[in-house]
Amino acid sequence: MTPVIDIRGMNFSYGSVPTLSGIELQVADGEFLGIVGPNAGGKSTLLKLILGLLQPQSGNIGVLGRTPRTASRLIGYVPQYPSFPRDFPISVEQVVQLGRLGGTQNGGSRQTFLPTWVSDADRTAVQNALAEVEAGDIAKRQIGSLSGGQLQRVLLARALVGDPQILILDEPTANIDQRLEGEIFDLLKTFNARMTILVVSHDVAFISRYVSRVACVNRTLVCHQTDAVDGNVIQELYGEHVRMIAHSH
Amino acid sequence: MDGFFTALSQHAFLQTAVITALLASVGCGVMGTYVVVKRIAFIAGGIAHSVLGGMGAAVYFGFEPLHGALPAAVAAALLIGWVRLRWQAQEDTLISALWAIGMAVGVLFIAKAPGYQADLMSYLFGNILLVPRESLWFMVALDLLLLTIVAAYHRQFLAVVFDEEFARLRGVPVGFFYLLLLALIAVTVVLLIQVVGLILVLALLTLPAAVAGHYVHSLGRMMLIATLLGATLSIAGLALSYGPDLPAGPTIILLAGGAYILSAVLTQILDRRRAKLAAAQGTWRGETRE
Repeated sequence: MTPVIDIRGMNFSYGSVPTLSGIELQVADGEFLGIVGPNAGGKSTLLKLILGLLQPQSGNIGVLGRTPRTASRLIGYVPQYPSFPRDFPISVEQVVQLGRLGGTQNGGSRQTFLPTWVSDADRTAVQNALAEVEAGDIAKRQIGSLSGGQLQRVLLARALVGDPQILILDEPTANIDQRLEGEIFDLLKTFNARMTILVVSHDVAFISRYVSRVACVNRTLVCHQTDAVDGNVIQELYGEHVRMIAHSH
Repeated sequence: MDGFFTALSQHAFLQTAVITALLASVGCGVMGTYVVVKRIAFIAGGIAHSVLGGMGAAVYFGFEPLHGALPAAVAAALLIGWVRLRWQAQEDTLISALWAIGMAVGVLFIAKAPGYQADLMSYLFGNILLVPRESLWFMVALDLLLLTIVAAYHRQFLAVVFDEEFARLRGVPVGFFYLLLLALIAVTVVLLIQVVGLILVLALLTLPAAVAGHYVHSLGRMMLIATLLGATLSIAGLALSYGPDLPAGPTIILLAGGAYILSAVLTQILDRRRAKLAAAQGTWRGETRE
């Protein structure tokens, strides 16, 4: 079966500093892949390369059998930090509507040079996406008035509303508490029934309960089955002694 | 003020000035809103000041200054936008360079222009009372162009000003729409130069939209309120300056600046009061935010 993400011999560097070297990664359709690693290890860079926001210096990246740039509209993306100012005059509903620009995998077009208006189908899709992430009641709120957890749900709805085949999340629970972290990952588990999911996280123990495979990234990439991730693997990945703390969510 | 309204019914030049103010306020409200929410006032300033080069060249070669202003503004906008998209690190240096070079070129051209030339001050600070009636049609055309393009592409513009990275992922040609946005800001600068001159354009482009942003929370409403506010401030400034024979441009800008400062202070006070009230209610109900 053709992998939905197929990376072969990929190298990337910012200037003269190598960030990712000799990356090989094949992600199967329907997989829930966790990506872990130390800060500045190249996790977010890997996601941006898959999304087509960065270009590798060498090697190949295939996404859904296309180049990353042409496949990006078939991917839902939740960034680590929102790249917009929180005081921007925009409602939750309008933010999610932006996820419908460029059409969906089932319809619409990429002709974003042409004028477009919000259709009834767009409005229905926005309502459904917000309901799916349990944020239907905040549709009319201003984006700046939301708490961290509410904002994450809205960004998740924006990623889902375009009906993506792959969902990519960069530390989606970094700024929210543990209870909400569990709720978000429970939601992701249900979405996994219909789409492939890649999620970056710092909490290896926590995501192990949800993901089927873990990709350890620290300039290079090594994949492990979830069960095989133990103290030695973590220590090797971080390159120094890591204090393991048993905790429950 | 009464004298102004009496004179308005009698003098064609005053009627032209009022129509000019109304036409300019459309651009100031619509494009000013984008300038404020995208936080690109410095870029708009660079475009405005580099326009003097185009106006000076037009005067030197015997054309209407306004006809030199439009291509100069659009060229400056595209150059600044292109550099910002390609080499973000050099953006502020390039804007400063264009700002200064544009003005220097303009002053040299005007100084060496043959025959009698209008005072340089009238280009820098504008003179709404001297706008020729034929220019009104030019302004109408520019307003129609702005409104048509913004209405057609409002979703793409919203995506680009709100979150460029996400817009790019959705297949929106971010570079194209960013440059188009800057070109439309350049057109607005040319509209506003008629009213307040190129030195003061930045104030009229940002202050009404910033005041509107204090009270409404959608781009559409911000544009509407900023347009109405821009029109009111311009006509009020014109009326206030008429009696004591003050220059209209600076009077309009002082009014706009005063409105902005008052509004900013008022908003701060209201926000603090709301926060105190919310905190008191939250404590009383024992509520916590998610």
